[in-house]
Amino acid sequence: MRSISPLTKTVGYAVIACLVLPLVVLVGVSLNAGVEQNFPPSGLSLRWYANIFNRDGFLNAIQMTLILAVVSTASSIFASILVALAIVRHRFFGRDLLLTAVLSPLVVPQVVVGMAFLVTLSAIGIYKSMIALLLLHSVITLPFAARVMVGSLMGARVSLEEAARSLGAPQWKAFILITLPLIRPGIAAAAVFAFVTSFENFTATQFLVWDRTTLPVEIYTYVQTESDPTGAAMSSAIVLTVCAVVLVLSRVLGLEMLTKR
Amino acid sequence: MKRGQFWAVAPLVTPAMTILVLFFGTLSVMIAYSFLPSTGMGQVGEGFTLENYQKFLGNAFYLSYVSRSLVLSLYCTAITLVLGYLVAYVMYRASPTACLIIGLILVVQFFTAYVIRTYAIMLILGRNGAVNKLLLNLRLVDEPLQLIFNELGVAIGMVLVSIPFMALPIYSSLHVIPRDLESAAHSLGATPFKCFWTIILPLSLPGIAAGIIIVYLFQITAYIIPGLLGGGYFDMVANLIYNKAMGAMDYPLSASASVTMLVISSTIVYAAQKLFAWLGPRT
Amino acid sequence: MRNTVEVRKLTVRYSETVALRDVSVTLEASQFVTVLGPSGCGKTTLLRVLAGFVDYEGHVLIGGEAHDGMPPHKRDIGIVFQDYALFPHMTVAQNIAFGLRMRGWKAAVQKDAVIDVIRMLRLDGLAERYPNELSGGQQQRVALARAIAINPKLLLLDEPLAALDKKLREEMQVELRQLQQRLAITTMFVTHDQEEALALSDKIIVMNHGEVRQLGTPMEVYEHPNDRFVADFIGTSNLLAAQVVGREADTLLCQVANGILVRALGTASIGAEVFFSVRPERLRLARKHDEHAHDNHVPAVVEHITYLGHRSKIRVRISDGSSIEIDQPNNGTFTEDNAWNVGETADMSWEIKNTVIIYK
Repeated sequence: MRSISPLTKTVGYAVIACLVLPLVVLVGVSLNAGVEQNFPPSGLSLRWYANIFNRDGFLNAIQMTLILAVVSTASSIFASILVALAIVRHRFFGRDLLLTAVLSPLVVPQVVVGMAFLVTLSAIGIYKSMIALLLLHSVITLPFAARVMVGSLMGARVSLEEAARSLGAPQWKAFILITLPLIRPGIAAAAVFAFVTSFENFTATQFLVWDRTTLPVEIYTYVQTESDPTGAAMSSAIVLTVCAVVLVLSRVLGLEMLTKR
Repeated sequence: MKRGQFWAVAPLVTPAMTILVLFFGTLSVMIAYSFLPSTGMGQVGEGFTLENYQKFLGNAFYLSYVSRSLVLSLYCTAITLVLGYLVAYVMYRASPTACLIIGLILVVQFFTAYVIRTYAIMLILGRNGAVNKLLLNLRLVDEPLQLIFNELGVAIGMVLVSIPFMALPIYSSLHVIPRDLESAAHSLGATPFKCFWTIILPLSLPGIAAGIIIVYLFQITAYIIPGLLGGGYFDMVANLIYNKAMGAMDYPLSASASVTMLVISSTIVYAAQKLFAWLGPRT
Repeated sequence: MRNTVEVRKLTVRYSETVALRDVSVTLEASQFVTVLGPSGCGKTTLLRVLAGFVDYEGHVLIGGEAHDGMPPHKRDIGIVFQDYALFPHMTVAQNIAFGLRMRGWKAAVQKDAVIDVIRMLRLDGLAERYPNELSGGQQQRVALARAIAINPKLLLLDEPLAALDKKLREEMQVELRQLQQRLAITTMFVTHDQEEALALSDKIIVMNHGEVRQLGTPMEVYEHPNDRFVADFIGTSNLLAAQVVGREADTLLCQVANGILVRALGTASIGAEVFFSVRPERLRLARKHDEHAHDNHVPAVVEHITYLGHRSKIRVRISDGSSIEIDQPNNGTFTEDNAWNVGETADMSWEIKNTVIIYK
C-alpha cells in the first residue's frame, strides 16, 4: 500500500463523489413536499412514493418487469449451468466456438438486438406480446449467467466428482451431492446478474412494448412527459433497493463475486 | 467427436443452443430485411436490393448521426479513461475499508438501470438543477447554463455513466500486480512517478484495453443518454434507428443502419483483440 | 480382499497421442505394486483405466471379472487422489462414510465402520472437523480412510504423498505399507519417486512413453535393469557404452572408448555394442592400484566431492572423458587427514560381478 499523491487522491475522490451525487440528488428530489423537482428539496414528504401506487402504469410495469426478470433468470441459470458443464468438463469439436457464441450477445449493441427481435417477431406475428419479451430477455440474460457459471465450474475440481463416483455415486448423483453445493455461490451470483440485466433492460425492450411496458420504459416516458417527482420517487425506490441488496450480497457472497462481471 | 461423448454433451448444450439459435435467427432476419425493399408500415417487398444501404450510407444527414456517434464517443471514451483510471487507482491505493466502500459504490452503479442514472444526471444538470443553483448562488454566472438538451449534456452523461465500466476492469488489472514490483523499482531508484509510468501503467494495460472496448462500444450505440440528456437536439445513431423503425415504420432502413452499427462494433472488437494480442506478450 | 488384477493388451489413445501402448500386467492378490515412471509415461492413465474414468482398447479383469465398460460407481475400488479430493462441505466422518452411504448401509452400521477406520488411521478426535481445518498429513489420512472404508477389491493411490514434506512422507510410507499388509488389499501405487517405489513395493512396474519397460521386485529392478531407461531412472547408474572384444569362459571383455578394458559376466557376440552400468556404491576408490585379479581397475581423477555426513559422493573423470559417480560410506577409512582432494589421481575398482550389462 504505497503512497498516493494528495492531489491524485483528491481528484479521484471528487470523481467518485460525482458518481454518488446524482443518486443523492435523485433521492432528495423524490422527497419534495411540493410538485417542483427541487434540490435541495423544499419540504420533506413521502407523498410521491405514495403516488406511485396511484399510477397504474407503474404498478403494471413493476409486475411485468418482475415476471420477466424471474422467468428469464430461471431459464438462463438452467441453460448456463448445463452449457457450462459441457464447456468446462468435456472436450468436443466446436467447444471454443460455442463459448464465444454463448457470450456473443454481450458484444451486440442493444439497439441492434431490439431491432432484430422487432423485425423477426413482427414477421411471425408474435410481436407485442409477453412471449416476445420473454424470448428477448432469455437471450440477453444468458451471456451474463453463462460467464459466471463457466468461471464457477472451472473452480469446481473434477477430482471431487470422480472421488464420489469411485465411491459408488453415479454421475448425476455425484453432480448433485458434490458439485452443486460447491457452485452455489456461483449460481447465486449468476442469478443476480441475470436478474439485474433483465430488470434494467431498456433499449432493446422498448422495441417490443405496447400498452404494457416494463419499469425502465415506464420511467423513461414518465420523466419526459410529466414533471412531478413521482418518477424520481420510483427511481429512488429502485436505487435504495439496489443499495440494500448489494449490501446484503456483499456480506453473503463477498464483493469479489459481484465484481467479476 | 466419439459417439459416447456426443450423447453426454448434446443434452447439456441444447437449452443454450436453442436460445442462441433464436438470437442468431433474429439477427439473420434483420440482416435479410436490410436487403429487402420497404413497402411502408413495417412491411417488406420481395427481391434483393441495396437501396436501403444506399439510402442510409449515401445520405449525408443519416451519416452525420453515425459520425457524430463515433466521434463524440471517441472524446468521451478518452475522458472516461482518465477519470476511470483515477477511480481505479484510488481504489488500488486505498485501505481495505475504503476500497470496499468504493467497490460497493461502483457495484450499485452497475446494478442501477441506465434510465435512472441518466435521469438523476438530468436533475443535476437541468436549468433548475443542483449545478446551476450552485453556480447562481456563488454568483459565478448570471443565468443558468444550458447543460442539457445539447451535445454537452450528452457528453457529460456518457462520461459519468461509463466511468464504472472503465474503473472496474482497470482495477482488476491493478489488483493483481505483485506488490514486490514497486518495492523493487523503488530500491533501484525510481521516483513515484517513474514507478507509475514504467511499472504500473504498462501492467494495467489489459484492464485499460478491456475498459476502452466496453466503454466505446457502449457509447457509440447509446440510446437513453442522448434520448434524455439530448432531448431530441442531439440524437445519436441508436435514436435514429429507433425512430425510423417505430416512427416511420421503415424496418429495412433501420435494419440497414443496425447492420452497419453491428459491422462497426464487430470490427472494433476484432481489431482491438488483435491489437491487444500483439501487445500481449509484454504483460 | 484377495483379488488379482489383470490388464491385457491395454491401449489408450487421446486424440493425437497414445498414452498406453499394448500394456499387459498382472497384480497378484494382496500385492503392493508401484507403477513408476517420469511424467507423461502413462502411469496415471493406467490408474484411471482401472478406476473406470478412461476409455480403452483391451481387457481389464479385477478379481477374475471383466470390467470393460463398467462405470466407476459400479466398481468396487478405493482411490486416493493426488489432491486428496476431500469433499469440502462435509466433515471428516461424512467424507469417510460417503462410500458406505452410496452402498445403502444403515446409519448405525455406517457409524461403527467409520469409527473403526478413524481409529485405524489415527484420526481420533477429528471426526467432526472439515477438510480445510486439517493439516496436509491429516487430509491425506482422511482420503485413505475414505477409500478403505468400503473394503474395496483394489486400492489405487495416485502420487498420494507428493504434497507432504520429507519427514512426514517417510512416516506415511511406513504407515501406508503396514496398513496395506494388515488389510491385505491389492494395491496399485503410482509415483515418479524411485526411492519411494523401492521402499514400499512388492513389485515395481517401470513405465516410459506408455510402455512397460520392466516388471520385477525392487531388487530385480535395481540390480538387473532391463534397459538403459530403467538403469538410469532407478538410482544413479554410471552408464558407459562399450564394444565386446573378447570372451573368457563366462566373462566378457568389453572395450570402452580410449582403450579401457572392462570385464563383465554375461553373454554376447564379439563385436556387439552394449552398455554397462555400475552402481555408485559398488565402486571403490583407492590411492594405489590394489592388485586383485578378479576386479576391474580404471584410473580416474577426482573432480568433485560432496560430503553428506554418513557418506560422500565423489565424482571422478576417466580417460575417455566420462564422469563417474562413486558413493562411499564414511566408515572411518578416510579421515580429515587423508581425505580426497580435487585433482588427485586415484584407482577406481569394482568387482566384475557388479558390472551390469545392458543390451538395449
